Amino acid sequence: MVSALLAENYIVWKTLGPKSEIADKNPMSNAYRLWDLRRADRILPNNRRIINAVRANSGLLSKREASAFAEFVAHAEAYEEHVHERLDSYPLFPESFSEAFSV
Amino acid sequence: MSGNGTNAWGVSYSRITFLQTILDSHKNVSFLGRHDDVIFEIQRLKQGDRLTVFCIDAYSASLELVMRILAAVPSTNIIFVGGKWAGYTQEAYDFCVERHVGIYNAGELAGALWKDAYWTYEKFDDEGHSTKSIKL
Repeated sequence: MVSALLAENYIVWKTLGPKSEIADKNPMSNAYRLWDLRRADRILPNNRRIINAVRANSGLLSKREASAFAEFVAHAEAYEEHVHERLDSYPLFPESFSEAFSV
Repeated sequence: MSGNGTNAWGVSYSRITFLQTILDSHKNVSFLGRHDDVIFEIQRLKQGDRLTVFCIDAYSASLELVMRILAAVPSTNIIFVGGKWAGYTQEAYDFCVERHVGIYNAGELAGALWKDAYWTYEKFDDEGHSTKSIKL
């Protein structure tokens, strides 16, 4: 479940985010609205689902997984704040979480 | 600052030409020149004033970045932050407005260039909410 939600978020970021091909090649495109919508209705809820799912099984986590999860929570909570009001910096998505939880 | 061709602000040539295209196609703007790679000098036809536009490429322009720009080029009138994905923090916006400096992305700049008080321009959605590039 976690890896599927991570994959969904990654595809949204890759295809619509600020480093996407459309943002780079056509910075005037109104596709930025899709990015605004998808991060609110897809990425943030998926992040919350990931946090809830992992927390529900926190007793099963190895030390490495627990550490990666803590980093993900720090990222997800700060990112949610950034989506509601733009921050100039916040913890970025931790690769360690992807490595630990992607199948 | 550097000569044309390189810049210390990390702005790519494609972003610089992107801003140039916006300014060239604007009906209230007469393009006067570009120097130090990222600084555009324009004249507005309706208002008759001359404005200095500073081009950066920041997904989320911070107060620190804005302060650094205005310290380096105090004559800056408008800071262009990049494409429609780009924006700025509330703190950066407030700092600019207090100093009568406009801060805009590609979706906002054209409208601001029509307004006498160009630093106060805001776009609104159908329900009357500001679409400033700070909040969702």
